[in-house]
Amino acid sequence: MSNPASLLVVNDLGHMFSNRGREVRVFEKCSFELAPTQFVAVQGASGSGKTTLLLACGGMLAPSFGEVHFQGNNLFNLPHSQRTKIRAVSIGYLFQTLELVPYLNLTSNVKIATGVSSVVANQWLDRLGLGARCQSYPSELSHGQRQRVALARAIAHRPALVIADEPTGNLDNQNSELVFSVLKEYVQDGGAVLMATHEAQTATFADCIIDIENLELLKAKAR
Amino acid sequence: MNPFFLALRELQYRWKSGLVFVLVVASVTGALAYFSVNDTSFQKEIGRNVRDLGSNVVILPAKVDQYSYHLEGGYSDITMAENLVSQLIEHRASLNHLIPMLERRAMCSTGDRQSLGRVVGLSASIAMPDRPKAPMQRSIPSGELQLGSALARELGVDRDAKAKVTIAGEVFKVQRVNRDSGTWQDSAAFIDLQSAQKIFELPEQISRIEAIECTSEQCEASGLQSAVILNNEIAKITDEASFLRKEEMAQARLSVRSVSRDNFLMLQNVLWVFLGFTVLGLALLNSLSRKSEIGILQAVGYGRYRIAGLFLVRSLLLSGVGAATGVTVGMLVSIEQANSLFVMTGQKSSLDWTVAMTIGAVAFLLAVLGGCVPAMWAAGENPADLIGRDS
Repeated sequence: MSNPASLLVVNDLGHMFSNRGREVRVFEKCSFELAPTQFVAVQGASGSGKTTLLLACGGMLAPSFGEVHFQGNNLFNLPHSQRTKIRAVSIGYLFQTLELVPYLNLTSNVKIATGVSSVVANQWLDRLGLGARCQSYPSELSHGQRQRVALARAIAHRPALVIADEPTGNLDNQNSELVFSVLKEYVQDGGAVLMATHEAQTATFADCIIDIENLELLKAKAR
Repeated sequence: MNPFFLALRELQYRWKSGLVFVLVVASVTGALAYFSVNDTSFQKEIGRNVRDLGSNVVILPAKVDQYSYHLEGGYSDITMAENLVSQLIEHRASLNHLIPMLERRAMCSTGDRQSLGRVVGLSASIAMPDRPKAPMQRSIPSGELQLGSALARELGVDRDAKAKVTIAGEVFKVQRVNRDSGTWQDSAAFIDLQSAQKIFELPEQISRIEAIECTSEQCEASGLQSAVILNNEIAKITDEASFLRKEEMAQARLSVRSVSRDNFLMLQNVLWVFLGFTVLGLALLNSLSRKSEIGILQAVGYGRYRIAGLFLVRSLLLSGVGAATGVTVGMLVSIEQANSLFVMTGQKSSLDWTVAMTIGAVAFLLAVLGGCVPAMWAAGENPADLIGRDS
């Protein structure tokens, strides 16, 4: 029985796909809960299914088995439009591949998140060290800078849950610390973060760690 | 974020693909507009050329013996009542450009020279009230005369001389000497019908009526031949007249018109289909090449209709600019060319707003289908299935 206070409840989640007629199981029987002010890290090697798990938790990929409940709603039982609405208001997603819109400047890239004004977008960019680059375009930035823009877009509309897929991949120590401090602050302000990482060191910033490769450890390890 | 802003930004960023879209739409709509206007001009010119071939129906008094008539070179002294013209009009006979004529062989003289000529009194061509047309034959002013070229030579009248010709005691000023036609008309003198009726003392009488048949629609509808339709119509109106149909000329008229019409219709259809595939294809390609972008927008909460709106705005802007440019250029080029290409009717070519609006509307509709439908379909997928899947 899940805790009614939980923001996200994942029940027996599993995903598989077919490759050249061969069935490939990405992960299976994954269950965990995430409270409204929790910072949870999903840890595992590359290819272990972290991104797939996060996409399912964000309502962006229908899993092969199991259920994802967000704020009490079974995400994949909802109509497409309602799932889109939940994503617009309550979920912020930082893709591993960043996925910035190439023809929008940084302010506009952050503004495409629902209900974000230019002022708020610029405040977040400033907070992430990009205050002077608001009018620049993604192609003019380094990977690390683009990663911070993507984080600003995921967080600027103050969603209940921020899902971050490898948020510090390819970042130097200084920028990694900046990103984590922003995420930690976000949790302290009442938000929740679900993060995927392949680095054991990075996972230590989280309140809970879920090792996706080892089913024994899928019961979240309290810190 | 405003879809116009997003669409404009995207166009600014991918201006080359936008330019290709505009150029392709402009080329196809331009060709379509060009051929549409060209077709109208061509039909007018063909119509004029065919009309100038002359009449293909002759209505004669019933008493005329056709053997003698042809033996005399298409001439007879027998007359019929002029009011047959009014009767034909009243009964909406399948004819147009009716020219009543009265003719007699009479001596024509100029000063010291005289010669026998075929004197023809004729009125301006009369159009049926429901088939208004430019006159095929203009009226000859009373007291004036047009001379056939051979008769003019017999009488020693030059083309430029302001000569006078006397016929049955009446003096006529030579209005013009006609060019060689290679027919009996070269040895004829043409005056107005009333003057002919007066000098030959045959009031309200005519020798024949020349006309052009308008039976093509009835032939298609009834399956009857043109001659049968005309015969039936004239038999219902009067028993004092019969008709001759100049078979080869009549067939040539029908054939030239239908071939030109069918040819342009086919060309237009091909262009319409090409326009459809082009606009649909380009809009579809754009949607498919932006799957990732659709995925991102979905991820941040853009709904299906909002995303489709973005693609719609893009397609409408590009197809609008392309169609407006193409239609304008196509029509102007066509009108310009018509002036030199179509000698007789080219000056009458003008912008066809109905064609312009139709082409524009179809281009818009296709852009909506090509831009919106694939975008809406893509927006119905899960974002994770779209991101990184650009075609």
